[in-house]
This record gives sequence, structure tokens and C-alpha cells, in this order.
Amino acid sequence: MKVTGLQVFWMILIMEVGMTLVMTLTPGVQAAKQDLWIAILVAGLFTLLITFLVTNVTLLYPGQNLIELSQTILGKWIGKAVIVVYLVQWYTIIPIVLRQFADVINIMIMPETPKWAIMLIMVLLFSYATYSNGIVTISRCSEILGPIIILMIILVLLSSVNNIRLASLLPVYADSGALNIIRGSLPSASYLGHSVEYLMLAAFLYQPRKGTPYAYWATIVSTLVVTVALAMAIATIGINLTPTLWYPFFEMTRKISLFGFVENLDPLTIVTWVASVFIKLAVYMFITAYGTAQFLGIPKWRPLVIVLAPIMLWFALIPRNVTEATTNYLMNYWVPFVLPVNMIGLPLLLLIVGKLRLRAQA
Amino acid sequence: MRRKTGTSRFADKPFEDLGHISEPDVSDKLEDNERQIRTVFDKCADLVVRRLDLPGSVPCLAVYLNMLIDDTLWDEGVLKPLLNLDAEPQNADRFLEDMVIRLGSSMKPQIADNMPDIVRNIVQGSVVLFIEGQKRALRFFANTKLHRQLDEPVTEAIIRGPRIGFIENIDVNMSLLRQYIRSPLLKIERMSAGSVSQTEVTIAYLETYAPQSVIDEIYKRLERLNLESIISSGYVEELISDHPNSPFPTIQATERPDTVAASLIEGKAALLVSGTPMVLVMPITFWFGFQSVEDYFMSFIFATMLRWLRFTFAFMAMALPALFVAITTFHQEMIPTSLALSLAAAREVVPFPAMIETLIMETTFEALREAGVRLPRPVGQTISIVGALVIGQAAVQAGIISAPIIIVVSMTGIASFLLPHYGMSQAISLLRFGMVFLGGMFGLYGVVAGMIALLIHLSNLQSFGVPYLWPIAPFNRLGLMDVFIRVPWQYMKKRKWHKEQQLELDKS
Amino acid sequence: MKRSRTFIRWFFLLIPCLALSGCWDRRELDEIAIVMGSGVDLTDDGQIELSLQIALPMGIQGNMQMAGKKKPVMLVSSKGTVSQDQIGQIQQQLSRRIFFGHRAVFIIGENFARHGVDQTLDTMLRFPDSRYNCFILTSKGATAKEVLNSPYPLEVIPSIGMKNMQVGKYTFAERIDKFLDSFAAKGFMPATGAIRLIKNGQESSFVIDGEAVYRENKLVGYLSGTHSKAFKLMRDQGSGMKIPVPIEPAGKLSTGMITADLLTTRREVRTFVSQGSPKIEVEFRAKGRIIANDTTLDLSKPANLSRAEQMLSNELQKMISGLIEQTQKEFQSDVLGFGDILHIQHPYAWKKLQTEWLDTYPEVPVKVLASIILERIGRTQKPGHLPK
Repeated sequence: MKVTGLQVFWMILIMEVGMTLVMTLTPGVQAAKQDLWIAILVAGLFTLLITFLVTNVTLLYPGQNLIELSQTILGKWIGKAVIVVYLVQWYTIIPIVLRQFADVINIMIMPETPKWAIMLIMVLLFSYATYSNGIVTISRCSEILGPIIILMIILVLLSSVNNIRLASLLPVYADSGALNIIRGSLPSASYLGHSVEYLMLAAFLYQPRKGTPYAYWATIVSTLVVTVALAMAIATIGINLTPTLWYPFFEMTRKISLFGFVENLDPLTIVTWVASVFIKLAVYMFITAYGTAQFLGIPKWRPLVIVLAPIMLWFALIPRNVTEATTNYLMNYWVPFVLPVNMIGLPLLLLIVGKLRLRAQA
Repeated sequence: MRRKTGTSRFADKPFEDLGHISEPDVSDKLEDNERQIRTVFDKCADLVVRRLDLPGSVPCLAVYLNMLIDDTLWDEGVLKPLLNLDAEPQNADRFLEDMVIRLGSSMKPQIADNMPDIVRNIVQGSVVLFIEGQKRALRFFANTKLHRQLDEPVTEAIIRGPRIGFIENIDVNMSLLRQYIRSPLLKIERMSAGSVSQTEVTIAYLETYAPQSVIDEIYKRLERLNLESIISSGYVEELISDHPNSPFPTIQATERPDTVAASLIEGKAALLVSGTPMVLVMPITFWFGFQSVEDYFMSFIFATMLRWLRFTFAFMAMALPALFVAITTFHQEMIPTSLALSLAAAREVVPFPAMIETLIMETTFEALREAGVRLPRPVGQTISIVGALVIGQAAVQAGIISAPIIIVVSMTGIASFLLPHYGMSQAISLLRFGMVFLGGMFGLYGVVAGMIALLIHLSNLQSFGVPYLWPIAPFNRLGLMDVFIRVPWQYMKKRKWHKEQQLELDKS
Repeated sequence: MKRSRTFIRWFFLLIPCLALSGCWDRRELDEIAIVMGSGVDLTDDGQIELSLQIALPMGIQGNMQMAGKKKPVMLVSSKGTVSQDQIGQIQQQLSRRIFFGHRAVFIIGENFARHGVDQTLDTMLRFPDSRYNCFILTSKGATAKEVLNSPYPLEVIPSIGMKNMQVGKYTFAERIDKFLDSFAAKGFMPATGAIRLIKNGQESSFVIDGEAVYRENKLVGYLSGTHSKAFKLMRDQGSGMKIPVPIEPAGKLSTGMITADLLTTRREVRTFVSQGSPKIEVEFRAKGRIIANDTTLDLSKPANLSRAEQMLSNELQKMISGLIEQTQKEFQSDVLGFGDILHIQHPYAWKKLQTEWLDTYPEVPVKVLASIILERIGRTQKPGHLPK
């Protein structure tokens, strides 16, 4: 199974942009208020750091994915412990994302459809994609869905230009201050930090050494898109209402009114949402199944997909309400643990130890 | 010297239902040979067994099937020269070779040395000459040229361009191809398929343009064919296709020699089957369904515009009914207010939910279309008018169907006729029903999920090693020149499709 | 590929199972009651009355159906103490599910507004059906129910008529989200258009003139006349506004008034904070053209034109100052958003000022400078109909 650099670019881009736009606006605005755009640029810097660490780690032993890398660099037992940390991340994020996805659909467009039905369709979709040809299928789909998603976001932004009130973004800095800005950047940074999955994807590239610029470009483009989009969302809805809404990006889409008769276009953004979540979950599913199989020494990873999919669905039904699923997970696990440890700390560790090893061997 | 018409790479399929050939060798006694032949061809009324005497009193036996032979050709081409040969039975060993050299070449004389081969040759339209005292026989091709006139292809009519189409005779088809590509690089390999029908199948390709791996793959798959008869290329298509269960065609079938010639130069391979005018071209990608030969004959601006029209209408053909159902059932706020009120008024009298209504009308439309194809021409016109006016209008008046649904269904119908390739159009029509179902159950979410599932399916398809969605995914900038736009010819040359294909196959 | 084939089979097996359980969110178009406008009133006995104007699609179509003189809309209402409950109660009168997705206007009854607009606001944001692009109006001199009940000859559905009046910017228009936004902001008080009923001969109809000014969440008064015009100017909805001004005393054939039509307006507010107390300066610049010259003057002469400009500028200044004074003294409500501008221009000072802005505002000195440039005077120079 081989993927091209461009496909990796699109995959990382979609994973980063889709959910960040929708989910991180509210917590970010609650902390940073109208300076969220600065906060996101700061988050972008965080992400660039993560990308730097991650790409350099993969360059140490090109062709090896995370499972192999950590065991090569850190030795069998510590390596396995590190992998377990990542496995926890992957195993928990799939049900949570699934749940968040169903919540958005429930809240915004279809309030009465039961969650299991919504989630079942998505589970079938990404299981089908992962099972049929693994990362190759997913990457081809992302090459087509990626431009479509970006195009739709641009269209939404262009149509909203009439509705914005740039004054809503003022005054700059005065209301928040540096500390708040950094606090506001954390949710976005953690969602944008999905470039950490590059650790697993890089091994499948045709030319593993050449994948680095694609990862960087994905990070830069996604940061820019998210900055512009979220700034426009705040400018449209206003700083007073935005922190109270669950999904301000969709609300901005609701306000679009073209020519007096095209209105209420938020179901169209559902397309963007469904497509992004699909790619994200498919990539994670593949990484989880493949990684678990490699970790446990199971030769065939495909059957694992069939085993894991219902489990994920079941897990996704566990949280009791929207708050528990979204906010709790984000604030209690993702931001305080995953961001510093999985995304920054562990790659840094791998990088340092790996470099030392290489130097010792040479 | 033996002349061959081209080495077939793999042996032809063995005769399964052969009559009993007790001895595989040719005997040097004419009586034995005659006996054998008569046993094998027992109850074949068109068998002709004729005794001749060559000059020099060499008795010969000519055996052929009357119906397959062109008598004039036999007379002029073989009998006369044979009977006029000066009798010099020189070297008995080299007798046959001498004859072969001296006889005229329109009959392609060859030497056959075993019975199974001889029987096969007789059945394929040769005349076999047994000569007393020789353990081998001579055979001549004397096939009748029974075929229809070259005519414009019925299924692929265009406005500007050549108006010849392939016919059922494989030799004529090959000659048409040769006339388009006059190069020794055009390789033609013959084999026969089908154990009973012994249909002749030919693979044509341009060497160094078509990747060798594709040709090998085609051979491998043809070898595996296990049918008793191949009546049309459709059988072959389904059996050698990568994904026979997918509604999307991974092999193109065309009747036009110019299409095939252009495809060969692009690096594709063509499969001709005797007895059918549809030539198979492979490998192909998804985007071929939106390309028509005419695009290359007209200005690139119009060609690009037409392509975009096709893409739009293909999307509409698949998704329009589903979107209509989804929006009017789940997302009424998306409809502009005045339109929403008109639609609501139109739906007041109708008893069915929108999804059922759409499915009923779609099915009716498909039935009408199919009926129109089968009926003889004058009656066919009536049916379409009757269908449109009476059923549509009357149904609306009676309050069974609402007028907006009629509009949606007819637009969808028009859209589905826009695609130049019937196979692709059929696939899209089939999927439309699934989409309506999904849209009616889950609204826009269902439609999006359906389209993503379709995308996943398309990403999995491949045609003889080439990914179906190439050059979009995996992305290839040069290949894009013919997908969404049709670039002017000076840039087209840079598009070495076969080179990219080579890279593609190397990668996978 | 064999593997995807098996998967496809399973996939398709599951679909019919889903169909059996039915679809949950499905609403056919003829199963919904489309609400075109809704209104909230406070009745005399302190109950909340919710009224909905519902479209009747059968009464709208003219061509194909039988020309029965059906009404295009119907009004339903119900009384109770909690307004969200009312929706459930009204549903019991209707055979179809209430659908707010096409609601065009939301009318607040005058009594309810004066009492304080509280309960109804939260649903507007929370409930997924409701749209932001819906306009909000306050009724004046009538209850919301009466306004919703009044017919409107120019449009089939009266609520659409109200909405078009607001969309076309002929009247002051405020959408729900901006309205709610100003509730949350300290530097901006809500204001809506005011709608009242009039009688046009036999028919009753409605007109949106004037604005309703709120202080926190209570209605404190209405603007009308020149102040209403000035309000629209200050809220940047002033283009196309016509300003008449007397230049010379009335004569035999003329009234001495010229009327200017504003083309573009620009409003610049500058705030100054000295020792913790703010000062505001408003500069208003407009470009206009003369559309009626009912005097004996020839406006093509520069002296006359500049005199006209001068008189117009004075008039503008009077209008705007009068408006600001009314908001300060009479309404004590910062509907013009000066607090917000203060926030943007002096953010650190605003941090201290914002808590008492409600009481500080009436005392803030505001200076107004207005000027207008007349670009064109129309097709004629001197009035053509006057004897030379």
C-alpha cells in the first residue's frame, strides 16, 4: 500500500480543517474573545512545532511507521509503552469524534433521528473505506473530497462577506491579553495537531524522505483557512453571541442570504462536515487497526476493522449528553494530556533519542 | 517455406466436442483420410469431398464445407492453377513446399500435418487438399466475404467526423484499423476462444506505447476463459473485466474505428471479437464516460464547455431526484419561501410521500424508455408522446402525482441521455434509485453518505492496473489535460498518457 | 475485489432493516404548518399570548386549482403563562406540525415590550428551526395579534409584505440576531421598527414608520418624525432619504422649500475620555442631490447652492442632535451604540465605564457636526414652471 505526498497533504489537511472549524470556535472564543484570530495563529505556531518534530522523527528511519520506530529507537519495552499511549489516544478519539459528529447532525439539522442511526451510517462508510483497500482507498477519496471541502468553505466565506461587520473584531488585544490568547489557542492547537498522525502515514509514502514539505504545507494551509473562517464567523455573529453558541460556524452559514431567495444554506455545510469527519475517522480507523495488528503481532489487519467497528459504535453511545462528550473530553484529556504528551513530548523524546542512537551507531 | 499469419502466443483452445478422430496423423492413403473426414463430418450436408487429379496423375482429395467457401475464389485461385501446374513430381519430400511456392497467394496456402488441425481448418473455412502419398496436406483459405456494408455506427452518431463503423467480420475490422494506423508498431495477435464456437479473437496494440504488463494481463485473462461459445464481445467483457460486479464499466466498447485508433495511440489495447461490431478497449478510467470522440474534432472551447455540461448533467442525473426528495422532506427551510409555498400547494392533493412518488415516476420513466427501444420505429414515437403527455399530464390532473415531480423526473431523464457512453449512463441511472432511497430516509445526510460510498467504490476500482479515478486520484498534473478541459492540440502532445500509465503500473 | 464485494453485500443487507424502522425526521411538505409570522402579547390579565400567522398553500395557487376564494393565511393564538408552553398548546389546534423555518417577522406587542421582553428570547437562538434572518418589529397602538390578523392587499401573505418592507430598507430593519446581540452588549441598546395599523378607506393595512427604542429589555418609547429619520441616518440606513428644508419664506407660487435626496452618508464618531469621563463627537457627512426645488431660486448659481447646502446641513445637525438628546434625556438608552464605539476606541477606559454606562450615558456631552455636499440639482436649473 503506497500513497503519494499529495495524498498525505490532503489527508492531513482535511483532518485538521474540518473539525477545527466547527468544534473549537466556542471554547476558543470563550477564552480569547475577539482576538481568536491571533489565538489561532499562535495555535498554528504550535502545530508547526509539532510538524517539525514529527517529520524529523520519520526522517530518522524512513519507511518505518510509529510502531516500528518507537521500538527501534527506544527499545522493545519502552517503545511498546509509548505505543500504548498512542493507542489510547486513537482508541478513544474514534468514538468521541463519532459522537460529536452525531451531536452536530442532531442539533443542527435532524433533531429526531436517533444517534445510533446516524453513527451507523458513518461507521459503515468508514469501515467500508478502510476494509476495501486500506490507506490507498482513503487517500484517493481524500484527494477528491479535499478540494471539494476547501471549495465549499471558500464559497461559504465569500457568500458571507456581506454579513460581516469587521468592527466586531475590534478592539484588538485590549479585552483579552496574552494569557487569554494562549488559553484560547489551546483547543485549536490540539485539533490542528493532527499532523502527528504523519508518524504513521509517512511509512506508506512512495518516497518517505520527500514527504516533509507536504506535511508543512498542510499545516500552513489549514491554519490560514481556519483563521480566516473563524475570524469571519466572529465578525458575522458578533462577539456577544458567539461564545454561547455550540457551533458558530454553522450559524454563520445560516445567515447567508443571496439574492433574497437563497437562504438557510446550512445543510450544505453538512456536506463539508460529513466529508471531513469521514476522512478523519477512516484514517484513524486504519491507523488503529493496522497499528494494533502490528503491535500485537497479528499478521492480517483487515479483520480487525470488522471487529473494531461495532466496538467503536458501542463506545460512542456511552457519553450521556453533548457536554460530556465534547467539553469533558476536550478539556480533561485532549488539551491537558494529548497536546503536550502525544503531540509534542513523545515525538521530542523519539527525536532526541533517535538522533543520539544514530550518532552512536555512526 | 512456411508462411504464417502471425504467431499466436498461446495455443488455440483445444477442440472439446470433436468428433472421433481415431488417428491424429494424416495417412498417405486417400481412402483413409476420406474415411476419417466423413466420420467426423457425419450428417454435415454441406461437406464436399471431391477427387481431383493433379497433372502427372497425382490423385488428390479436396475437402471443404460448401457454405463457408467462396466458389469463385476456389475455382480461380486454386483449381485453375493447380490443374495447370506442369507435372513435375520431383522431390517427393519437397513436393508440398514446391506447390506452396508456386501457387498464387490470395489463398494463403499452408501445410497442415495433423488431423485435429485439419478438422479445425475445415470448420474455419479452409479447403484442405489431401495428396496421395503425402503425409501432410495443403490448406487454402477460401472464405466467403459475407458481410454487410460499412455503415455509420448506430449507437455512436456524431456530427462531424468519419462515418464508418465496425462490422461483424473481423478481417474487415482489422483492415479498418490498419488504415488508420499505418505503422509496423501496430501489433495484431490472434487467438480463438470458446470451445465450441471457436470464435476468433484478436488483440491489437501499439508496441512501446502500450505497457507490456497490460497485454500480458489480457492474455492471462483470455486464457482463463472457459465458455463454450462467445457470441458477442459482451461475454468477453464481463469475463475479463476487473470488477464484473460493479455497475461501472472498466472496459470500453465502441463501434468506431477512429476511437479505437486514438485509444491505441494513447497506449490502450483493443480486443476484436469476430461476429460483433463492438470492439473492446482497455484499460480505461472513469472520465472516459464523459469524453466523446467529437470533442476532439471541434474547437477546444466548445469541447470544454460540452464536457462541463456533461459533468453537471451527470451529477444531476444521479442526484437530482434524491436532492429534491431530501430537501422537500427534511430541509424545507432551504427552499425559498415562495417556492416552498407553491410546492406545498402542489403536494396537497397527492397521497404518496415524496420518496414513493419519485420512485414510481422514475420506474415508469425507465420502463417507457426501455419500451421505446424495443418497439419498431413508428410505434416507438407514439409511445413516447403518449407516455409524456397522457401519463404525465393526466396523472397530475388526477392528483396521483404532483407537477414538480414530473419536472424533476423529466429533467433527470434528459440529463441521463446526455452522456455519450451508454455503459456509464446505465450505471448512473441505476445508482439514482439508491440515492433516492437514501435521500428519502436520511435527508441530505443520506445523500452525502451515498455519494461518499460511491466515491469509495470508485476509488477501489481499477482497470488492468490503472486506478479508475486516475488522473484525479492519484493526482497527475499532465494527465489532467483531457479530463475537465480539453486543451488545445499543441498541449495535448505533451500528454504522454502511456508514460504516466507506465509509472502508475510501476508504482502499483 | 472479493473483499469489497462481501462488504457491499452486508451493506445492502442492512439498508432494508433501516427502512423497516421508519424515518424519524421526515416531514412532508403537506405535513407542516408553515409559520410566516409570529407575535407575542401581554394580555390585560398578565398572561402571555402567542399568535402565529400560518400560510395556507391552497389559497395561494390560482391557476390550476378551483378558484375558491380561500384565505391565504390563518391566525391561531393561545394564552398562557409560559410562552414556550404556548407553542405546544397551539399545536393542539393544528393538524400539522408547526414549522418556523420560513418565519419572516416576529412582532412584539407593545404591552409585552413595555413590561419587559424576557421569555421569548432564548428560544429564538436555541431552537434549531428558527432563522436568524427573521425581522423583529414592535407593534404600536395595537396588539401583535391584531397586526398579524390585518390583511395586506399588495402581497398574498401579509407577513411577506412586512418582510419585504424591511428588506427593501424603506423602513428601519433589525434582524433577530442583531437584536439579541444588542441585548447582550452593554454599549448598545436594542431598537426595532415599529408597526401600526392604519385604515386605507375600507381596508385596514399596516405601516412601519418609526422605531421602538428599548432600554435593557423594556420598551421605553417610539421615535417618529424627524428623529426617526435621524435615527436611520445614524444607523447607516439613510441613503434614499428625503430631507426638506425651508430656504426662503413662502411665496405665491412656491413654498420656499427645497428637498434633497441623500445619496451616500458617512458617520464618524469620535470619542474622548478625559479623567474618566467620556465626550463624544459625531461627524456626519452626506452627499445628496436636489429633487425638488419649490422656491424661486436658481440653484445653478454657486451662491444659492451653497446657501442650500448650509440650510440642509443645519437641518441635519438639528435632526441628529435632537435625536441624541431624546435618547439621552427621554429614553436614557444608548440605542445609537456610542458605548460600543467607546469600547473600540478606548478599550481600557471602557473596562471601567461599562458597568455604569446605563446611567452615565444621559450625561455625556455630545457634539454634532453635519455637512452635506449637493452633487446634482436635477434636470432643470431654475424651476421651469414659474413665470420668468
